[in-house]
Amino acid sequence: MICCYKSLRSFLYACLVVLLLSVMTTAPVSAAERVRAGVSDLTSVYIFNFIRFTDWPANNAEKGPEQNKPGPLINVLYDQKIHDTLQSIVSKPAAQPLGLRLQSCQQTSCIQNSSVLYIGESDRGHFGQLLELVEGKPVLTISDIPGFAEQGGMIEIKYHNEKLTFVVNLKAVEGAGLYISAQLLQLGKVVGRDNE
Amino acid sequence: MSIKTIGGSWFLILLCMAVSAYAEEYAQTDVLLDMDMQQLMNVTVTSAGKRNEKYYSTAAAVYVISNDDIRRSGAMSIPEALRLAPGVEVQQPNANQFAVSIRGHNDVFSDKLLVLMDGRALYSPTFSGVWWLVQNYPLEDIDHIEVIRGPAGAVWGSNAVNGVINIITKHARNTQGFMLSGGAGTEEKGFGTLRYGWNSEQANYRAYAMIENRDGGIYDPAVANIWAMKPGADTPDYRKLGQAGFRMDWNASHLTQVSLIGNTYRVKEGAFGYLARAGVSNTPFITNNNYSGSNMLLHLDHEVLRDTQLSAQVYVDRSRMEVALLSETRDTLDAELQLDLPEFFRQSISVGGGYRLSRADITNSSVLQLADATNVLYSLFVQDDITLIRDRLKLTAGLKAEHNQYTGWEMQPSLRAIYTADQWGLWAAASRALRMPNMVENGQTLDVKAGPGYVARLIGDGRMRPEQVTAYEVGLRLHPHDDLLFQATAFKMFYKGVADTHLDNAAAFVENTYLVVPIYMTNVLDGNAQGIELDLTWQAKTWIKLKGSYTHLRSHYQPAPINDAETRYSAYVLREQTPENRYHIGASINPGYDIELDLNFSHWDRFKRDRVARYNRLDARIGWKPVDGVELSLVGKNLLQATHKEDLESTLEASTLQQQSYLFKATYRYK
Repeated sequence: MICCYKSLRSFLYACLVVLLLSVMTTAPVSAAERVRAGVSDLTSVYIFNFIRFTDWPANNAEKGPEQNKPGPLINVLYDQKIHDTLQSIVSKPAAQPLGLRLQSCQQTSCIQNSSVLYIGESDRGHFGQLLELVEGKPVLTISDIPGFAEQGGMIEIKYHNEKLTFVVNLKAVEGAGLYISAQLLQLGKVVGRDNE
Repeated sequence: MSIKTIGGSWFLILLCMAVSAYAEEYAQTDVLLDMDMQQLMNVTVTSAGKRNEKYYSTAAAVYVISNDDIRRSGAMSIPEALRLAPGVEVQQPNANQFAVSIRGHNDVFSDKLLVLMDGRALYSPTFSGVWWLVQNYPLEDIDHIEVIRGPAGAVWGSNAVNGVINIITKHARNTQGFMLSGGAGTEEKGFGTLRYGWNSEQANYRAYAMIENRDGGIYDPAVANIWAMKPGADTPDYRKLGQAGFRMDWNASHLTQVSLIGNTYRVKEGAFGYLARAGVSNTPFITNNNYSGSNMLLHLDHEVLRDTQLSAQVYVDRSRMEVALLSETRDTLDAELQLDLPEFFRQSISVGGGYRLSRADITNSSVLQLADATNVLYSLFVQDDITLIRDRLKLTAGLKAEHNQYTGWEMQPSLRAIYTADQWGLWAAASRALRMPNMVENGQTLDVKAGPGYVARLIGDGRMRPEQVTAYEVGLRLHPHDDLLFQATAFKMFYKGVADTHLDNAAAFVENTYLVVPIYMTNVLDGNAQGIELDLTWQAKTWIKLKGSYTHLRSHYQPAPINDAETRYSAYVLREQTPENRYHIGASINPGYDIELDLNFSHWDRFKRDRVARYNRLDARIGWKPVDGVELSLVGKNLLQATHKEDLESTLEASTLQQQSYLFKATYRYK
């Protein structure tokens, strides 16, 4: 019986060591996978990255003050928190090379002259009219309104399973004369391809 | 290896797991900016950012009225806004009184509903109901209203027998700048709100002031005219309101948020009814009632450890009412604490407790005697969310233990399960909730009806026990795509010891020169209610959003343990208290960029033994935004008829007719 107890004890020790090792070795991986952030912070950084991966026509906003041209002008409508977060982002060293400018202006001229238009979820009922205002103009339209990309918007940020993903309407992007890097397109869902 | 050693090793493992869990990073924008897109797509969004997604995964009948829904409905008060929620019964006996309930038992004294504003309980311990007349807030600054139908006692506590209404005001961050809104109409003689929001480095603030002056209703010819009212003339049930308040939201750190909310108000209303003059007759009165109050709430959210959230809240509330029957000054102190523990072996456990001290100082009248009283309520709760299949099947078990001074400790358990797929969800729940006895049931005497030589006296002598409900619910939720949400709920509720009145002729006694017939406030009925609730929200096109709901409620009550003419009458009246069938159809249309058109149609079957006939109601609004920051709107209410009767009189006030009305409103916002 004593030998059985000893075997059992050894077995339990072995199990514990394996378990401890597995916990310790998997910890860094799980930590990397489980970074958490506020939805507005994450959405704002998504917007920043979308701008990095987008090219505007040559006569419009260029990316970078080093070319002595103003950087992309971001117009945020109907979401104060995104506006505030982007405000802090544009002054950070990581964003300065892009020379980003930010405003929140609902006048038609502001909307049409911006490079990026972010439409907050609270404008759900009206975004069709906003899209009409910028139709054919090189304005990158982004929103988290459900169905935004399917209904003519360029990039829709979606919440799914506690994470953010995005949908790109390629037809709308190309129709505005913009170019989004394939590096970005391969990460999101794409709708509005020519063959669709 | 001893048990102690095994325990120690397990503790070591758990510590490692906790440390590894705590190594998870809450990323600020600096960290996020250093990540590439692929890494960003693996970042988990914190629960606070889940917005409406969290409602899709709740095993309960939940509906959310958004700020935009309220704005576009043309509602001028919180109970009017509640008309938008499926399954909520809103009736107006006169211009100032609202009867609001869920799944029956509707009355101006409805006592089976828990109503909260930013976590502050609005129901009065005096009669367990909500005095809607004084529950106001600038509707522009209400973020949303959550409506939970069915018992929710395990999470929210007592009074959540048939449902919870949770009014959430906007974060001060979302009310920055200047806003002025105002207008007037055929019933609204004038109203206005001034609000200013500003910020500092870490905090956002807003302050507001609102006023309102509203007309009375129209005299109802079906009510005996003992006040010598002129037929067709306005009745005295006017309302004048002044309210001011503030809110501060402080980001003390990225782990700590603090909110401080305060309001103060004064309301004056005209009222008419009758007082029972013992041994003589019912004596009509027309009077002015005064209400005033102030409240302040401090709320703290703090992430004490990774995924361990602490919520603490304390509020003080003083309210004063001077009405024909009594004057009451009530002071309340409430403190609550909740700890949400991190997920552990697929279980998310929340524990918490609460303490409420409420003191009422009463001045009696010739018809009502009620002693000053102090109510103490304390509670503990635990809730466990068990993930049986990750992202699919979740079980929620909860228990709230609450102690009240009348009946001691009471238990309110619930068990809920939900299966969610990408485009649908199916849930089921079994729960028990209680409505605790209140102050009037423990010490009030009120003369309610008098004639030559007699008086009927309502007596609350403490014989009342908690009303109990056991409910079984199943629900289906479909959202095949982001623009369509359909919800269906079927329920069966079993009530035990429903409170009502027991007229005991055998206990009649002589007082002075007249006979007193006692009517005891006690548990006189058992019963059940069953029904279905359907609702649909569909953004059909970008320019049109459609909403619809249908509610069927069938209830049955039996006198028990008392079975006499009075309790049989109570059973009959309760069954007929709300209509069996109701439906609502709404459309929000944007015909042009600057124009909004909203229509809300609702149908109510007859109820209250045909004394309230079936009626249809149509409200409409046209909105126009001529320039940036300006919104003009024209609202029409009750458009299908000049007047209609919506509910019967109450013990306190006579009923009047609801009128067709129009109002104009202008809003200006500047940042």
